[in-house]
Amino acid sequence: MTRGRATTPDPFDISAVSSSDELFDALSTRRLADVRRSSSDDPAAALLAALVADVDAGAPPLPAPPSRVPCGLQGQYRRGVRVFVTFGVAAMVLTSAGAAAAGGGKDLGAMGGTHGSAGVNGAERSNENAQRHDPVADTNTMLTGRRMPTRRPPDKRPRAVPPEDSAPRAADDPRPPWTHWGHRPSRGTTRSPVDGHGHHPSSHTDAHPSNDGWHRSPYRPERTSTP
Amino acid sequence: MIVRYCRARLGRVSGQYHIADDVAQEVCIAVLGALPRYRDMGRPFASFVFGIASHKIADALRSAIRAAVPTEDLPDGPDEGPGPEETVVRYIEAERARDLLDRLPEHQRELVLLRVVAGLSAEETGNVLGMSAGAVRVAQHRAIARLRAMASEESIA
Repeated sequence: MTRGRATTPDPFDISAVSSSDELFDALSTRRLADVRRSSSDDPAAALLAALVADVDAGAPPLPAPPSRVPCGLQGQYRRGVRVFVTFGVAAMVLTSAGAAAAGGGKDLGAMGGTHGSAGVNGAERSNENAQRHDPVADTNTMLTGRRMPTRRPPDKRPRAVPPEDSAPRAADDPRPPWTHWGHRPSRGTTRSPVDGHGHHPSSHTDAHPSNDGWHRSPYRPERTSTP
Repeated sequence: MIVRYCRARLGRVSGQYHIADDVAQEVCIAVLGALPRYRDMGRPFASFVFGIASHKIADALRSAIRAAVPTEDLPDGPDEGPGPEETVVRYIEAERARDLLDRLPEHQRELVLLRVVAGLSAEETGNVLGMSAGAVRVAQHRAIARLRAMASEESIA
């Protein structure tokens, strides 16, 4: 039956291979006492232990395996870094959340999930917001999760209205526009207050609608408006 | 590792390891001299070193001169080592182990020397010999089984 397997080596037991590997590990790591104690009836192990002890006599010590100590130190270092980063991120989140809550809850919507956890205080705060803000905008905020742009009240501050016909129009100027753009003043001309603030007079165009008397070029004759 | 490897291969001469230590020194010098010519061919550097060591040991065995090593002064001081009887017993057992190892096939002998005497792990031994760690474990199991069989035959005889 085994004529085809005549040249193959004998089958071996896995447990025997592992026990032999343990014996070789003990011999290579110089645990000779363990070897002699565990294999007292094994003459080969005793002879190998005697050979190792004889060879090691007076020899320099074997180098320690380099992969064990750095791994432990690296693991501790990484663990420390992880703990530090975790606490740092948690502290930043808690600080920003506390600052947002102290600021009236305006920024809590950006962090997400604040509507569901509002509770009684959230309801009170939303009432305050309703009194303070535009209710239409708050409704849009609740529906879409974003704050919609609201209409601003009209600005009641006085605006500087340019006087009519105070600036000469380009159509009225008989010269072509490129002739007075970048026009340099002649010598002896008094400087305008605009120049006193550092603005070059050539940077202003007369045709700009926002030009008032103050920014008007002083090199033009003043035109009087006739009602 | 090289010192132990040379000691295990060459043994004591006149009760000392002077020859083996000299060969180990020659191995280190040869490795330093061969470093500029070393090319990484995918095999570990330890196989390069142990290859040089095996050649140096073969040269030493070929030109072995069994002569006494002269010393200038006789050792005169307390010896902290084991006693004479224990030393002799250990020496005899070590010589017997070398005899058994010499009767092993060369591949198994190299494997046992690297694994036991040089203190390499199964993976490192496999890298040196060009084997996998599992093949090293199987081969070392066969080697120790053969050593046991030979030792039991000697004890019976």
